[in-house]
Amino acid sequence: MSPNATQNVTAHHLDENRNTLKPGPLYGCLHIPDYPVQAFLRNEPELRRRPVAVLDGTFPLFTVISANMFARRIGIRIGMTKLQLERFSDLTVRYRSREQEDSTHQALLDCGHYFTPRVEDTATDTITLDLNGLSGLWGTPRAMAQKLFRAADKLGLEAHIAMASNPDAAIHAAKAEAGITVIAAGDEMKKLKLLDLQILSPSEEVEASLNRWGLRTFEDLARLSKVHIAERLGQEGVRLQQMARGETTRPLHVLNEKPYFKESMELEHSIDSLEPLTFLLSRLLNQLCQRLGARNRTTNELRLALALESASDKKGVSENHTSKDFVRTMRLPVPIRDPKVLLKLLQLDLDAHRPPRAIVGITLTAEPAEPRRIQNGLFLPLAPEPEKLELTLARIGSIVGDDNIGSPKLLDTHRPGAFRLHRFAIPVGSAAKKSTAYKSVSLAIRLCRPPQPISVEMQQGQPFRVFFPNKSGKVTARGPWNTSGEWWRDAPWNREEWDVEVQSGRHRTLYRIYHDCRTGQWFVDGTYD
Amino acid sequence: MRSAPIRVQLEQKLRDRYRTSFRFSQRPQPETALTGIEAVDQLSRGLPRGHITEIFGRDSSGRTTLLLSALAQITEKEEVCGLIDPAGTFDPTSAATIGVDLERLLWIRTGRDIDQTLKATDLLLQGGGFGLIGVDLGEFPLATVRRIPFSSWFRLQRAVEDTPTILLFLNRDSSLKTCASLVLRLQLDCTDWSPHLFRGIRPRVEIIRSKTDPTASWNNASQRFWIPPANYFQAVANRPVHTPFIKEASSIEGVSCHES
Repeated sequence: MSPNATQNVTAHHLDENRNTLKPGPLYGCLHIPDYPVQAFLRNEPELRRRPVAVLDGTFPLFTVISANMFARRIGIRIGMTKLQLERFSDLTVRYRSREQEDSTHQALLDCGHYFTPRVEDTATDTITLDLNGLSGLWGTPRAMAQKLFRAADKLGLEAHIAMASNPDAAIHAAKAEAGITVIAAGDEMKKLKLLDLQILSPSEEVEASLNRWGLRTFEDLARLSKVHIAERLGQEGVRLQQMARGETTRPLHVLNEKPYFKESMELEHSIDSLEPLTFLLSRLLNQLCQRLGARNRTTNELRLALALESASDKKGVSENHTSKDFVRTMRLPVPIRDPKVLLKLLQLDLDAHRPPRAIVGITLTAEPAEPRRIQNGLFLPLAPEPEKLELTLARIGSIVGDDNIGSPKLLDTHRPGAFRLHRFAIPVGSAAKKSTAYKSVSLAIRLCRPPQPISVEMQQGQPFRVFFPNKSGKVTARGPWNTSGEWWRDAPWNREEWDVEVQSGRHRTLYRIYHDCRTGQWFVDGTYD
Repeated sequence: MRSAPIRVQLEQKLRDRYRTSFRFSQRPQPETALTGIEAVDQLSRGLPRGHITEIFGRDSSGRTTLLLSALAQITEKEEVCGLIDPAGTFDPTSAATIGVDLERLLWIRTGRDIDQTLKATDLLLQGGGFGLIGVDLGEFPLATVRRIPFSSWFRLQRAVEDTPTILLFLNRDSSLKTCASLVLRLQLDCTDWSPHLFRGIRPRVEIIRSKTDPTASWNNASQRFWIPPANYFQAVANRPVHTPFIKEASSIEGVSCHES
């Protein structure tokens, strides 16, 4: 989707009545009704067909601020107190969560950005899209609206969609009408005439005047003379009348803020086992990956923050859980967007690092990254798939420990056996070309870790007999090879190395032993094999 | 072992009479990878992919060198390898000297736990994409390795089948029975000492079983080869060396520097 697609290109959209194309701008609006309720229903879809109400306030005065259609049907009203709700047995009550509302708002913006880069953040529950010139990509206005509806549904949102030739008409139609509304250019008055003037959000003074005059609908205001409105209500009245007539034209206020990808959930009841936690993480990850996909992003860092139950955690207290007690950060060598792979990696990590107490809240944050661009080839060398490799490494790491798996790297020092184990990743780029002819192979050593202490009997400055824990024998020895270093550090080394052959019955074994000149002890360094 | 030649003789005799019955007895030869030691490659024709190879021998028989040489060959082809090292005996310096590309090597230490070793092997095979997976069982007591049930070996054999991975086990004694398609025995033939130096070992390698070449084991063919120890300069050549002092000295007139 190129940003240039919407610049200075006239959109052609279908005239609903005559089935002909006529030019004109096109704007779409997504509005989420009952926004605080929908913020919860995103992560609890099983409540979608049940009455749900959201409370807000300070303890002990909680009142209903939002309720879904099913709750309103059984008699729930805005402003009811918590005590009044107790008689509704099948009502689900939630306490307002600003964090979940933030995540929902970000999800809404991500949904809009999937269709066009010009998105206006009109309100917390409303976005407006500039869809000029995108008919070739998304189809007719009705087809666009249906795609918007499905995209919002994938993110767990039941949205009202409206398409019109000016942004304000689209916004008002989306706020008033459920489902999909398409307003052809010139039909704004016809479609909006019965809408309530409250949708225009007039100031208190103007609203009082309108009520006094008995004006209730858009049509009532639109019919009046512009001059009379200007005289009595001033500029605000003129502006409201233009909106009621659907005549306003304005550019969208597009803000290109950096998106952030965060999903959170506060739990009604604490959970203390991993199975239900995995179930909830799966939901959050699905949402997160959908949103990343909408912006064509992947993630290479996932941060899981779990709010843990404490002694003072009381149900109903709207505490701000800003200090999360248990945080796990997962850095991935390759960017991934597959929720199943991410879930498995999180599961394995939590198996190895369990939270110490029961969990009362979950927050998942993903750092966005550019997706990988891979060009496949027919003659590429064999290599594991990056996602599968991550899972394999995590599974093996959970068995043997993360410190015992990795790729060794030699250190820049002469200290014997100095290396560091670092995270294994498939190297990028080709190895240096080497000769295909057979080359001489040198003898490897199997190291004793830690070095095994032994006793050595010397004769004429040479090891004569070596005493191992389970055997002893005369030796053939060559050496010594002195090596020392790092005298300027806390742990220098200084040793004499000997190559010895120990005959034990019919079998011979070759060892490298050394005398630690600092402590005077003898050790087996390893076995030549 | 005696049954293999008898079977081939029977098949020869019956083939003329019942030609169609033996149509599927010819299996395609598996792709192989060289070990990097000419004597071993001449004898065995390489390590078969999609099969289990077992190399057994006592300490100082050269089996670890053979394993690292095979790893070097595979990593040289830009494939990644896995090494499961229960006792933590792997020496990265020896490996780098032999030519193993350490960046392409996944090293797993399982802490002398045979169950973890087999589980890690299975997980690597399930993950796929490795050119060679080496499992060093050389530090386990023979009794421990022999107690591994046959079904575990069979499971690993099935897991590696039809993959391009070489699964290579290092043992003190042969334990995999018929699950290994290639079984090599290494024995220390002789060692060489000069008045001042240990000059190397000469192991002898022989094929005990080869499913890809059944006749190889009848001839008692064996090869000897020479393995000298790594010298100091060979070992340090593979270390990342930063020598700021030499670089500074080279800017001083009249000072000659030898950079490695």
